[in-house]
Amino acid sequence: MIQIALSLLLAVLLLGLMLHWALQADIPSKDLSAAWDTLGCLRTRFFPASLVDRILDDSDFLFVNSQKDRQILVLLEAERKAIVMYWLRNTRRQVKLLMIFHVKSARHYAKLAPRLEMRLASDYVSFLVVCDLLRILVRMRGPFRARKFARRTVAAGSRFCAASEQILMITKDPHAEIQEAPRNA
Amino acid sequence: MLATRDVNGAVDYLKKRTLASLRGDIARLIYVASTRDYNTGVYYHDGVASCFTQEIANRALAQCHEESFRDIVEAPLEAMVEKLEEYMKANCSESFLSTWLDIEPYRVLAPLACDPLATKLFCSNFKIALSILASRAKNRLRD
Repeated sequence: MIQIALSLLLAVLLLGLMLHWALQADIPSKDLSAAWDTLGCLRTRFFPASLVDRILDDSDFLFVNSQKDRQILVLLEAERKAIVMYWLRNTRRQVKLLMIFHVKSARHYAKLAPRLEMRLASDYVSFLVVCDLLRILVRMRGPFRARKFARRTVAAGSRFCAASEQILMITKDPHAEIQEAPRNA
Repeated sequence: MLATRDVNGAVDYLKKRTLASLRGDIARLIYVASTRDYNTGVYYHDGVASCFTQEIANRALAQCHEESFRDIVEAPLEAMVEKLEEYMKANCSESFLSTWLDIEPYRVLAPLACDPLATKLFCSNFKIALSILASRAKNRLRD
C-alpha cells in the first residue's frame, strides 16, 4: 500500500514538473539576446572561411620549407596546429551553447516545424562529427594537409548557424511563418 | 553621436600627415598602436584632436589601427617577413631580433576590437617571421 502511495506521489511530482516546463512559455530576453550574440560571434569570429584558409595556406608551408631550416618548419606546424585546435575548441563551445539554448528554451516557445528541428539536430551532429574528424586529421597528418577538411567544418558550422538563425527568428516572433531556407544557402 | 564624415576626415588627415611619412606597414602599425593608452584602450593624438575632437581622434586612430592590423594578418607569411625586414633595416639595432624574440612586444600590437583568432595568427606569424630573420642572420654570420 505504501509502495503504491509513494509511486503515485512520485508520478504526481513528475507530472507537475513536466507541466511547469511546458507552461514555461516566456524565454528570458537576456537568454534570447545571448543566443543572438553567440550566433553573431560564431559567424563573424569563428566561421570566416578566408581566415581559416589563411591559417592553413599552403604558400606559408612552401615558403618556410624553402628556408631549409627544419626547426622553423617544426615551429610553423606546431603554431598552426595550436591555432586550429584553439579554433575548434572555441567554435565547438559556441555551437554547443547555442544548441543548449535551443534545447532548453526555444522548443517551449515556438511552434517549430519538426522538419526544422530535425534539420538543426542533424546539422549539429554533422558539425560535431566533422570537428572530431578534423581534430584527428590535424593530429595525424599535420595542419596543412587538413585544409580541405577545415573548409568542410566551416561549411557544416555555417549550415548549423543558418538553421539556428531561422529558429531564433521564430523565437523572436512566435507568429512568424516558418519558411525552409534552401540547404545550400 | 559622431559624424562618420568627421571620422573619415580625421582618418585622411592621419594617413596624409602622419602615417605617410612612416616607412612600411609594421612601422605604421607600431606607431598607431603606441598612441593607445594601455590602461583604458583610448587612443590619443594631439594633432588630430586639435583639428577635430579627442573623440574623433580616438575613433580615427582605432580605425587606422584595425586597417593596418588587417593588412598584415591577411598577408602571406613571406610578405610578413619582407615587411619585418624592412622595419628592421630602417630601425637597425644589433639586438633587434633577440629583443623582439625575448620580450615579444608584438603581442600588444593587436587592436582591441579584433577577433582572438586573428590575433593568434598575427602573433604566430610574427614569431615565425622573427625566427626566419634570426636564422638568416645566423647563416650570414657563419658564411
